[in-house]
Amino acid sequence: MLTLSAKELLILEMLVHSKGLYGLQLVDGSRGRLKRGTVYVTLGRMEDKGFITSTLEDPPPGAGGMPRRLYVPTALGRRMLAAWTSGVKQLVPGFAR
Amino acid sequence: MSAPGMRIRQIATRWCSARTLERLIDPTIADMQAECADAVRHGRPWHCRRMRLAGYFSLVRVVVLHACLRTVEIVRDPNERDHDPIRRSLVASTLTMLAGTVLLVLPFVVEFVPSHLRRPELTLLVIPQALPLSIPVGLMFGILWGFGRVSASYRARAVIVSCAVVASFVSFLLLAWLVPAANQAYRTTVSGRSLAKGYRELSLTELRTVLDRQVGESITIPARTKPLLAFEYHKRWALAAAPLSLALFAVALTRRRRWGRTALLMAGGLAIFGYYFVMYSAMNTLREMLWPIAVAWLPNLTFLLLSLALARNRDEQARLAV
Repeated sequence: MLTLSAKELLILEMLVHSKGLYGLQLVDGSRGRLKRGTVYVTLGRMEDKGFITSTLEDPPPGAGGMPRRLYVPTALGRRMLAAWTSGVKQLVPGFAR
Repeated sequence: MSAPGMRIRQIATRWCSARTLERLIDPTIADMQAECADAVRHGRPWHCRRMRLAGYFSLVRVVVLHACLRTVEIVRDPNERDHDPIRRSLVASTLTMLAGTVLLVLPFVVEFVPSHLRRPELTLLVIPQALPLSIPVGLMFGILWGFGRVSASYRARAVIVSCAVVASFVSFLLLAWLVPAANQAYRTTVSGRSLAKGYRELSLTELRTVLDRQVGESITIPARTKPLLAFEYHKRWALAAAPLSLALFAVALTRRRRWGRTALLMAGGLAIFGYYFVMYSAMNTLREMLWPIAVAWLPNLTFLLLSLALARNRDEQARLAV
């Protein structure tokens, strides 16, 4: 049975409302709930489950360095997020307001 | 000058799978490089250095977390062909540990304790002293027996090394608190009166306190024995790490499949002799010449380097054989 941990839920919410984010952008936008480095362990697990996918993006010209991974939600990830949040709203009506 | 993190990436390619590199190591290094490049572009070199430090710390954290999670996965679900070497190793380790404990405790109880004082509770108080020695010895011989001449997978070796980590943790608890408390209980039981603690009866925290020059009321230790106390303190930490360092050495040794089981066990015996001889005999001489921490950790570092050399030599042989 597929489940969503709190961190996976947060990551999916952030990704669904954007066109794709790097790991560090997820950390910066999470207000301390995600940690640098360890966010990639969670992202790797989510990719294995099929909730997200990633592509390598070349760094901007002149910037140098290794290519970075851009993460986007899959259709399964979007459906999972919708199902999870609607289920929470039904159980906890106050959450829906 | 290479970009930050590239040397670490080079080292990681030898030890990590392609998947781990792609999913964990490379993104963390890429973040570090992007932040550094951004800081340098904005004329903030100290911010770049701070980002490098944060990046290295993140790398360590991600590798440790991934190793722990992966080990839990492997322990929960090892492959079928890994069952035999793991089971053989654990059984052989347990039996060797028990035999070692009995061999260490029995002469002490039979020869050194007067007959009128031979009580079961005294034997129980002596057992904790033997365990920090019998645990690493048992584990090492168990690995050599269970994995000798067997084509064991990376997963099976990971399970055994995780057992060694647990064994090291148990050794630490014994050496830090249980052994000193048992020693003191033994001394007061045999003498029939309350005795002041010697340095071997101090817990790890009490030892640290004495070293920091805050002597308690019930502790009678002259100040000139500070080098001895410092060595005792670092020796307990180093002995706690002995199960792990000897287990890694045994795992590296068992990868040399041309060696028979007898040769492996003899090599293990020599290793144990070397480890404890260096720790207990040569230390008396070296303690005067080197820092106590260096002296205490010398055996572990020696075996770690030997393990790395054996593993690297094995990899090169495999590459040449292709």
